[in-house]
Amino acid sequence: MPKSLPIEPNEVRKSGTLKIAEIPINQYRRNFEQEKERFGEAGLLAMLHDMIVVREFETMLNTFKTMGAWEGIEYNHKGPAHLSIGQEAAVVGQAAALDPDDFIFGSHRSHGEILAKCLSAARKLDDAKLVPVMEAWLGGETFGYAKRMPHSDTFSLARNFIVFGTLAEIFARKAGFNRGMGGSMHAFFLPFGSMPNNAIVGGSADIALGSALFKRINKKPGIVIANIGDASMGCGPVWEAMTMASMDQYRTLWPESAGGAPPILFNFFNNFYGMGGQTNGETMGYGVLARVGAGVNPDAMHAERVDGLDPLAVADAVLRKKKILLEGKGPALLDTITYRISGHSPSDSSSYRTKEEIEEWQNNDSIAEFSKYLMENGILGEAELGTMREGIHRTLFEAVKLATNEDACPRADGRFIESVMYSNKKVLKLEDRASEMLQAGDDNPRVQSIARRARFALDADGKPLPKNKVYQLRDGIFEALLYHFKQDPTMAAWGEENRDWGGAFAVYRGLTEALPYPRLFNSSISEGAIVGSGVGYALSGGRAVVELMYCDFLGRAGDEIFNQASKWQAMSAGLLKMPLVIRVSIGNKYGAQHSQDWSALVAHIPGLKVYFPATPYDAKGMMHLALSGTDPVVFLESQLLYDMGEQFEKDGVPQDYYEIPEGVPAVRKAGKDITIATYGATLYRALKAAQILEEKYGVSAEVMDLRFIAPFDYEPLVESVRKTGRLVLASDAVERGSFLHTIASNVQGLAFDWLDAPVAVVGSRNWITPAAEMESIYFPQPEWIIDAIHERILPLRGYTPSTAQTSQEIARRYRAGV
Amino acid sequence: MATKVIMPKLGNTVESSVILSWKVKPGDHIDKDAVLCEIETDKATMDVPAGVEGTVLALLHKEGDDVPVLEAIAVIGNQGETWQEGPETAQNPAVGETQAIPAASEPRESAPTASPPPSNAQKTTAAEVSATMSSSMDKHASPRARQAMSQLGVNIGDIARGSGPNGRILERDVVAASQQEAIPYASAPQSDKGPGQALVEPAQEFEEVPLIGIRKRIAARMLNSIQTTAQYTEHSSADAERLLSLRARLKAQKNPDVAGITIGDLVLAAVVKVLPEFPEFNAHLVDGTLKLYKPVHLGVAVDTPRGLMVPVVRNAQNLSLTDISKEVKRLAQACQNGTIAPDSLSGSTFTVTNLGAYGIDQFTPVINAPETAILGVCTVRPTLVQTDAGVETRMRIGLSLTSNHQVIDGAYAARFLKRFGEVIADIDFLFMSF
Repeated sequence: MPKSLPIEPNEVRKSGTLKIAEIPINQYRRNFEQEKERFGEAGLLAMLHDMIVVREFETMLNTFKTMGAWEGIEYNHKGPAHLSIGQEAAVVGQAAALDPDDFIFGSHRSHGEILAKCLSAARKLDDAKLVPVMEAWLGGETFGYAKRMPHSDTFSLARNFIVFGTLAEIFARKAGFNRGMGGSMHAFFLPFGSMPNNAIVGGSADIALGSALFKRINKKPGIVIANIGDASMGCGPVWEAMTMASMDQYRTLWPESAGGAPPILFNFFNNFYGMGGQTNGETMGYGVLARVGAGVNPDAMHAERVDGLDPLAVADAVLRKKKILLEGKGPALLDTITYRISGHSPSDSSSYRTKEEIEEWQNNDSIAEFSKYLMENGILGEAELGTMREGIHRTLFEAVKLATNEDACPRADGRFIESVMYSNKKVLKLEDRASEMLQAGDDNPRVQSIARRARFALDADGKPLPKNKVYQLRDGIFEALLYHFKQDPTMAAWGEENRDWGGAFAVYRGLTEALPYPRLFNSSISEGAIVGSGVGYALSGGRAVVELMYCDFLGRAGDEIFNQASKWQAMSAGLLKMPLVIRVSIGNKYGAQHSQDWSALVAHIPGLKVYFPATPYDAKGMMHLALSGTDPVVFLESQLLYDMGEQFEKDGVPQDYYEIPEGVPAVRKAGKDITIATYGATLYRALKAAQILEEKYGVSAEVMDLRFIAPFDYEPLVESVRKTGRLVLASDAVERGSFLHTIASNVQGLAFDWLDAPVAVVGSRNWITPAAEMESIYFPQPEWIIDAIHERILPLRGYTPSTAQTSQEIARRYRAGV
Repeated sequence: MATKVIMPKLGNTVESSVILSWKVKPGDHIDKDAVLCEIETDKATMDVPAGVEGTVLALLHKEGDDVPVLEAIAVIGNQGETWQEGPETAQNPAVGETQAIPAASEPRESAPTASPPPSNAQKTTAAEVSATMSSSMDKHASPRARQAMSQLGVNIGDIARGSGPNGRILERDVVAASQQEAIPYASAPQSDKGPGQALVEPAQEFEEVPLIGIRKRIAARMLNSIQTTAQYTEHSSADAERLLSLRARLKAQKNPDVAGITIGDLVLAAVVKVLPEFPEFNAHLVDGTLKLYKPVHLGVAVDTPRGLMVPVVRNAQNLSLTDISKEVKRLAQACQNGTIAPDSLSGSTFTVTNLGAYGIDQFTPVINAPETAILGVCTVRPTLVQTDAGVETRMRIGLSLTSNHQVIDGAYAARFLKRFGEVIADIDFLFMSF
């Protein structure tokens, strides 16, 4: 919505014809002399070598899965093995064109990509760099095994390392590249540019975009490739990622010095099948996959189809795309055709394709064809090929012997998994350089506006000050964000309407003036890619703050939050960090699809931290906490509270930096007869209920603001319950499945002997959120809390409940499903 | 399948109970509701029902053993079934194949039941039947209320119905019971305070002294007595001329044991004399059954710095006056010193309390439940009496007898007092052989 880009009716109403850019199909022609010049004889032989490594490696896995033994070694691999036998040329050709600085993100079928990329990188790093990388990995544990395997030089040692590290990871061994936490579908090796592989189809698209944004915004070398399959073209997040990678603003609004669009190549390994669904002729309609590029931007994403059975064709295409991407003219798209001769997995009986079809592709086998090509051109003899195969086989055999040995190669234990669920680091700046800022001090209009506001909501007589003269919750979030933008040069924020508008709820007002373009920008309406790119940005080494305008949009970013942000730290055995804050605003007034508190959904996902401040003091202190950590934080904000002033901290919200202690709930009002504990905006209704209880019924209520969902320290709450013996929990989340039930269950376990009644949970009704005018019959009201106390905990004299809160009524509602 | 019967937990503070007597022996058939044994806590004597029907396979403790609560005390199963400690029991219930336990066999005293390993306890599938007091099962109290009961010395039986949802006993009900206040009902209209107000304290105008130890136990026992019996008191007096002269003569004796005999000791001797003539006074009333005791175990109220204690002179009917006097002195001293053995504080069948030394004319003693009556002894004072010789002044001793009307009617109690007065008046006769 920048004012600098007017939308002219005369322009957009003009008639004409849209010309689509031409999309090349398999135009590469081999020229041996040229290729020899490009890669050298050794480079060409290395391609063949790596193709054979991948083929042998996967054939070995297939034999274990189907026969339970290989070369006389018995082993039952219980986990998955999604093989890519037949696709070797495509992955090796791509890797040959890349440098160690270039990143590839892959899929569940990425053993070949890991091996090819790592072998390629190992060749391109000189020994002085290569050996320390291997020595440093997991404290030298993996390298220790590699050194026990036969080797003659640094490269053969590196080959041991790569083959063993990948295999041990697939077999879930502690010495595996990711300590067995990733396994077959998620293995990767960062230092060689092999980035996380993703078991969710298309899952790497938006993460790779985030990684490319990290490279662009922080001026890092190299490009990023999302290696995804043809079937992922049916996935929303892939389209979102392509759309967001193609935004005009990289050219129209970002400063030229920023370098243009994020350097990302969407590479579709097109094997024509998505498991058993045939994308070519059955489940998709693009005809030629590369066509899709034309629908995304005027450059048609520089799309082309390339013959993935020829490593040289692939390498040629990748080199050309890389040049475009480094010039900031991306994104690019490759439709790399290939064919999976093996089944989708060992249980695949290939009922969806004919033997003849498979045989025809076997007749086009890339390894046989490429060997022949190298022989014909006189750089390879049969004897040399035999020696090459023998060496590869010996390495593989030794790696298998070690990786299948239960005693020699143990697995990690539960304590280790627990230790990598969070990284729990405290880092104010992820890189040590100056932060790029515009107006960020007293010259900033928002800073000036806040300076005029009272930092405590009440005057000297305890009367509330007018809202527009008071420092509000949104100001607390802003202040913390501005502080960290100044501190951490890698920190960037994006989402819908974040720039210019200042966020739909004015949290970011003033940030447009404070921050240059790459550090704050508007995204396409692509919740999946907003969060997914945040994930990629964070795991690549930057700090990202992304926003979901309404909690109800969280479903649109479901995979990115539930599977990606939450899990990569642990799936990498703690090698990746995830300094990602996902701001999620919880609405009201706008009915069923803009008013839900879905804290329970994120609470259910291991690996996420979930904060929910309800006061300006906490909003600032908890945002400081979130932005100084290295873990993914879902930061819930209630739209009912954005204009709330600070009512509890008598000295007001401090100007200086402070953090709220993680996990610790706060007592907002002391009491001794009953504890009322809440999340979010319900706090203020609970305080009202406490007032009524005290004034009318002589019951002294202690009110607690739970404020953290994960991690959560039960001790202060249990201490309160030990004192009062009674607990009501309330929040605006619908009652069924509310996280409050988890709290209730745990308090009943931790404080059973102190309880005078079972813990009562008061939530919103298990309905759609009705219209604004009807919300009082949907969201918990003060009298609901008192009714629940009267009916289920402590009957009050002379009290007449106004709503049904009895146990019988709860049973009835559950029976009816409402 | 063999079932273990465990020592019931008869209250929150009870950690163990003594097996007074077994009512069955191994090999006996027993009904579900029949009494397995009689046990005693520091507060009460109780019958333990079998809980299951079957053949008594083993008795795991001797009479007189102090057994921790929830520990197995007996095993009941099918006739002919063998029983052995440990998980094998459940896994191999060899019914009727091996030898039956002969009826005459001894209880398995040496069975290793003192501390069965918990893992075994978990593995066994034999249902461990707890013979609980029926009254506690009808009511439900919150965990916090149960904790308060134990802290405040309130029994669940002290609370008729809780004020919580569905009659749940809440902490406030226990607090109210401990303060002997009316229990605030949720539904009952009340004129004074709201239910919450019991929990709200004004500014501290008082010091809070929680009841602990003996005080707590006295509080609980006295309240229980008042709440579970129909007490009334009759006042009378008896001619004490001979009592005083006998006391004077005894005091002049050289033997210190004889010289130390007090008016109170003489009164106790008179009680021992009269009680067998009125068996309902030497009795316990428990769960609708009146137990008439043959021996007289005489409770004697003793005022101590820690509160009222009631040591027991056992088998007082067999003791001479001097022996009674010496025993009372010994027990009273032990109470004062705090060295009294717990055994000496339970099992009385009738209690005497003496406030004569304080010049009390009459009072209403509280029955030491489950006894049926208590005799209060008052001061001796000169009284004008019409005799054949006209009006004369005679020394008379006041008597206040509290009885449980459930089993002792007013006239019967009056007859007891009349007869007792006669014995006091002619106290000399008690020690004569005719």
